[in-house]
Amino acid sequence: MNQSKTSQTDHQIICCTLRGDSEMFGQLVHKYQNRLYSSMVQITRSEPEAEDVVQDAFVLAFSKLHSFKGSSAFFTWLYRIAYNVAITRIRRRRPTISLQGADEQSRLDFPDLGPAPDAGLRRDEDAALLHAALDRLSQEHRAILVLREMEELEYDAISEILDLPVGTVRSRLHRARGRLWELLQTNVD
Amino acid sequence: MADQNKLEFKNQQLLSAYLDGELGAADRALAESLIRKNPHYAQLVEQWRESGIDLRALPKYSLGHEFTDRVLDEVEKVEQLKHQSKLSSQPHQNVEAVREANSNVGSATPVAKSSEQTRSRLALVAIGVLCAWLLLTLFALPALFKPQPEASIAAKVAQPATAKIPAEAPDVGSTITDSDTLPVVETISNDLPSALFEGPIQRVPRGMVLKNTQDSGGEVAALTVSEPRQNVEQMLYVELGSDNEHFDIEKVLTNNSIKTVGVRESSTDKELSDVEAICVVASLDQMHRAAEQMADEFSAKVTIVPVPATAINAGSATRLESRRFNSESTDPEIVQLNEWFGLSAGDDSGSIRFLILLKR
Repeated sequence: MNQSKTSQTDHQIICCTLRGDSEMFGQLVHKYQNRLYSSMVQITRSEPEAEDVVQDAFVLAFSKLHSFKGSSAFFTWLYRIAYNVAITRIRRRRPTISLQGADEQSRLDFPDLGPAPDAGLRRDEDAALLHAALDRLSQEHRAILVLREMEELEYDAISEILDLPVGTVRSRLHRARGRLWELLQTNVD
Repeated sequence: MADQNKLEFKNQQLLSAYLDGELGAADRALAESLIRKNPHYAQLVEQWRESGIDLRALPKYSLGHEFTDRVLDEVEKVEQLKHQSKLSSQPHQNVEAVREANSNVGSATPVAKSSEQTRSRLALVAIGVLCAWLLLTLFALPALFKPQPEASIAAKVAQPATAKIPAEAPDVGSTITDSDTLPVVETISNDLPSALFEGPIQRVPRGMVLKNTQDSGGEVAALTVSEPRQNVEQMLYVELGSDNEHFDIEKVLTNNSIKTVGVRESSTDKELSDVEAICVVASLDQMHRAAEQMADEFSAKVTIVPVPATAINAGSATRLESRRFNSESTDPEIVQLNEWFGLSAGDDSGSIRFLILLKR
């Protein structure tokens, strides 16, 4: 039997929703919408798109709720759905990539994010550099960094969300870190 | 030199996992010793740590209460649609239900009236069946006793799900053994789908390393065929996570005596972010060895998926591939494809899947 990783509260809400009380689902939406949205903004690099992704993800999650077994945290399951919705959208908008023209990939528009909060980043310039680097990272590298560094998820959960073996999570993270650092250095120079 | 690079890469990977607290005691001790002894490693870990702190300090975004309401509105629409589709899937019952409900208004004997209608409908059905049987006896049955040249497609589909791969001359270094059986759902009657080969096939020199394209998400598709093409019997489709950016597919395949002749660019209808390879191999044995080799090389899960002809007939494998991850689709064809690929909601690319097309 699968050991439940879903919190008691989430479990209760899910049960109520499945029994037909769809209003209860609103509690789950409220609980996770901002966390998911923040992550999806980083992955899609677009606030409006991230909002659509999160909405679609919740609606999909609702309609598939009966298939949620509780063997993982609800958020992990939800995140996986959201991630796949985001990837589908990103793929749709991505231009054809050729072996030769790899560097000509068009950059994704990134919205004005407003000023960075004081806490954390040393300077606004640092945030700008980081955004520029994130823009240039491949979608896979960006996603895995968001999951690990921003969501602070463990490899097991990342593996589940990205549907990758843990070994691949480990190697991809290493590459992503290296690449991010390279890009940061390029931007500084 | 190559060994040194490999070691460096391995050490760095270890340090990255160390930073994440994902190591066991022995590996952790090893990582700490690397950091102690080598200032370059200490610097590297520090750099990664700093980047992590900066990433965590990026602004958080939030959605208002109206967002929750909007989602609930959408959820309600989904509920209504579900309800409607349920109703429409039971048309007769619903018509009856509606009629019954209507007749209940202002009617003293609704049930009796409804039963009467049902009886007269049953009588009509019985007459219809009788007429059909008479027609069948007169015209259709004699034709059924004529000799049939070949079993129908439907009959083929209904055959047992496991068939032996026809024994053809295996390629260099490969043998087909009795254990080389794969579940074949049905016969693939035509040549390999030509649409697979549409677009330019670039010849590449042997030993060329297919690198992931920088910052592109790494879309590289390699098409590998054995020669001559007419003898091609099976196709191996490989999808690899793009972190395997330095993998040398040709080396992997040639290690398995699989000839490679071309590399194909990703096309617009194949916008996948993973490195993919569609390979045709000359024997099942080769395919298994290549699969094992790749699983080993990339420490990844490998799934071998036999694909029935209907999947190919539904379009080229390219189309198939570009559609298969639409796990939310209700299109019966895609639903069927998703079943073959074992996909469910929330699934997407990332794991390694081998798509095998068998041609008799």
